[in-house]
Amino acid sequence: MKTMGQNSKSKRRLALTVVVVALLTAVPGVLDPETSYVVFLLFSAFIYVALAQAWNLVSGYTGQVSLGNHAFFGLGAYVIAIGWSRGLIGYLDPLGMLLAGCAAAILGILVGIPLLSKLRGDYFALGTLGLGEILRLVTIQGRALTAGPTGIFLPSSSFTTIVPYYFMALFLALLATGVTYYMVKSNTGLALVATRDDEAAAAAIGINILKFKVLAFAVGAFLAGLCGALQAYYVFHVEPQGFFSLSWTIYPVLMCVLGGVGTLTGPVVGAVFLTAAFEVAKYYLPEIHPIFSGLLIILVIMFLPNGLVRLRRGRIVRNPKAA
Amino acid sequence: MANPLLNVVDLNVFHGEAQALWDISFQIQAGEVFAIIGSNGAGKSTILKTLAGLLRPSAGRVEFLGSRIDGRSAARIVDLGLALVPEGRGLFSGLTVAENLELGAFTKRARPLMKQTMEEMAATFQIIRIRSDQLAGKMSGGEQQMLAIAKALMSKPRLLMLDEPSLGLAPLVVKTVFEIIATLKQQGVTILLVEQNIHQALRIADHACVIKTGRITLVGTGKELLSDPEIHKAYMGSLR
Amino acid sequence: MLDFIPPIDILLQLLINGVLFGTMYGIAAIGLSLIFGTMRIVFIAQGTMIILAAYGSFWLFNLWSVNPYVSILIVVPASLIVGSGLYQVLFRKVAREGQFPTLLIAFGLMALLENLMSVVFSADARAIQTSYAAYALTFMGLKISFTRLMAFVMAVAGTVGVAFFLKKTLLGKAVRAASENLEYAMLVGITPHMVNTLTFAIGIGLAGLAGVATATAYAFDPFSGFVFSLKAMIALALGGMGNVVGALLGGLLLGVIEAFGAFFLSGGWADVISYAVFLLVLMFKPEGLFASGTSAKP
Repeated sequence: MKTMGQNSKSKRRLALTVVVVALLTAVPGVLDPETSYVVFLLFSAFIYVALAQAWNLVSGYTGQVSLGNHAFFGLGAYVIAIGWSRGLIGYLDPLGMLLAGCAAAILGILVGIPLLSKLRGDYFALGTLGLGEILRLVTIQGRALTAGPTGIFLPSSSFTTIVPYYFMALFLALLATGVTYYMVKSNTGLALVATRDDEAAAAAIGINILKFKVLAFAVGAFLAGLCGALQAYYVFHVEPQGFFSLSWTIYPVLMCVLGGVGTLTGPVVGAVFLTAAFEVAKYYLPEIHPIFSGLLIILVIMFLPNGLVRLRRGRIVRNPKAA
Repeated sequence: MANPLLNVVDLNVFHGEAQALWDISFQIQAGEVFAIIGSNGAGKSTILKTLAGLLRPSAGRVEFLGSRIDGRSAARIVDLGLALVPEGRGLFSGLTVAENLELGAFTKRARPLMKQTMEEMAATFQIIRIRSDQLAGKMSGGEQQMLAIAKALMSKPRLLMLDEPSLGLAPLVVKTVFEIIATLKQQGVTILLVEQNIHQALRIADHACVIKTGRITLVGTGKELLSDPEIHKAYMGSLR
Repeated sequence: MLDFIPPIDILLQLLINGVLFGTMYGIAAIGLSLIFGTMRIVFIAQGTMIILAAYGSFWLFNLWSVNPYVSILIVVPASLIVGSGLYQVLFRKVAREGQFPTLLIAFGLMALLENLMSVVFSADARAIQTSYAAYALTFMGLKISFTRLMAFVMAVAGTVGVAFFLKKTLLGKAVRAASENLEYAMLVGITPHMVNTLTFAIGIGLAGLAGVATATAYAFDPFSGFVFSLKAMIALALGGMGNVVGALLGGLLLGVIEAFGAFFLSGGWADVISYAVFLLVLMFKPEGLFASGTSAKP
């Protein structure tokens, strides 16, 4: 009975996903992408969905709080900027984006192995935080290669319409969600989630924790790198301050928390909701919207610490060990 | 019979979604040693943690000196006179022996008496006299256990709860620990003792109960349980 | 660039500058260490609180001509109150929910304060201009800025005060006990809220002291806080978590590394070096360079 119930539930969920994706695909056809704000809003929401999902995969499911997403995001953007400005890759070049993602993933593996094998949670968070700062400073010092603090200007005349961005971002959001779903549903993923709070138990039942964590970290980095690449194509000006901004890590984290950490739909809900909230704030409170964003973060955590998705289910399970 | 010091009625406790204790009821009279015995994971520590206020029961009640204490904070409960020496001894290993003892008397009731109690402890426990500036974490297992008991006594408890005080100690040291428990009993300290070292525990206990997968299966005096064939078969044979 | 070795007096001057500036990191790190030790909160807003206190001292001087060293008597008590208030309002309820929430609240607070300060106080860099701001002592040919020396003295005094509190008072011992094992601490009657309120008050109180020191000796703007927090975390990693004297030493070491890095390379690369040192220490000696085996030694 139970399995049948779950089966039909997952079928319904799949059907719902297909319908939503179909509707989203139709949006640029229905609304005029040149004038409609909704298309832009969805584009940024999709990028945030992908970033939130990338963080969710690493931190929500494996329990390692990473604060280095912006490092991978920025690296992806710089790969595009450096490559395109030298004519090595083209405009909205899928291969270039793949290269950007892979560069981020390689950095993820290089940093992930020592950090994840040595560090407990708190130190891992600090270490990844340092990573973003290092990359920001290195790009500032990078002289001709990164054009220093002013950054690299890209040929913005290439821009014709937002439509390809929209579909690429939608693809990234779906990819990130799908990959997260796939990895969590894998045997290792399931076992890891089951023992997320107890590493000793996970190790005892024979899970190669490190391998899975590094893999998750690298995949998360890959996704963040892809997002940075797309953002670079969209902004046409890649500079250290904006692309290595901690906001690229913190906002996705906030979105995950708002939606529900360690759930598949949580980051999606959180990203869409918060992107809208931030955009509304930017529009109506242009001067003080960063203040509003800070306040919003505090309020969300204080009043919705378990996320919207879990709230709806009405089942809040707290860690009884915590004081 | 006089009113019991501790009265536990139909206690039910969950660990997350799994139920750990089912309808636990027992009473402890002032001045006695009460032992809870059972194998690893039966729920013995869970009972103590619940009594000490670290876990909240989902149903049932705990009365101490006639008033309900279930659902109260751990700090309030130790102030009322229920002290727990937890599994792992509960010492602050980065603090010195003297500092551990001082913190033992942190409660409002015990703090004014700190100096005097400290002297009493120094009289009872030799190590405290000679090692007061040593870090607790640097002492041997047996010394740590003594210090842990002394630290709990610093709170002037009306009921002292000991969670497996003999765990991980050499047989000779175990003997000393039980001697101390016997001395405390003579001094009139009421003790709730949780042990896997069943033989020793039952010999010293006035009353005892056996707990198995979260339920009490046998109750009786220490002597009765000591000669109970069931217990012999289930626990003692494998132990010694 | 590296083919000459500068004369010894330059090296000494660099060492002094590094130590003097490093105390700022150190005192910020102690606050972080206390808050992290008891609550496992990575309080990323610590640097911003320092800047807020610096503004407090700055405006007291500019509006009411309060001597910045006298303003300690106002700013530090105010910071203690703000600290306990921050815990009660922002963290009390959320502290048990784990790390993402507390980290995010701290980040939210940082974003809120940074932008609030830049709207209210403007984003211009400020520094207190007293008559003695440019005064420097000369000692064996070495120049030591008076205000920086005072900042150093304040930081050392703050460290000694906190170390004394932790080592000698019962409440201080309770704080150490709670940061070692909260459950055990609860069993002797220590309530988490009391310890948390106390550590937050002290942590932010130290931020107040560091703020006055910053305002008198260095220039600051509303957004200086974040880098300050990061540097404090590096100092903390160097010195070892939950180790007050270690945190100060970690700050000094970081200051010296930066001073030498900035001299031999360029300013920007000095920062890269400090982060690289940070990562290396985290990877190879996560207990800190000055750790002494036990977790909660003052």
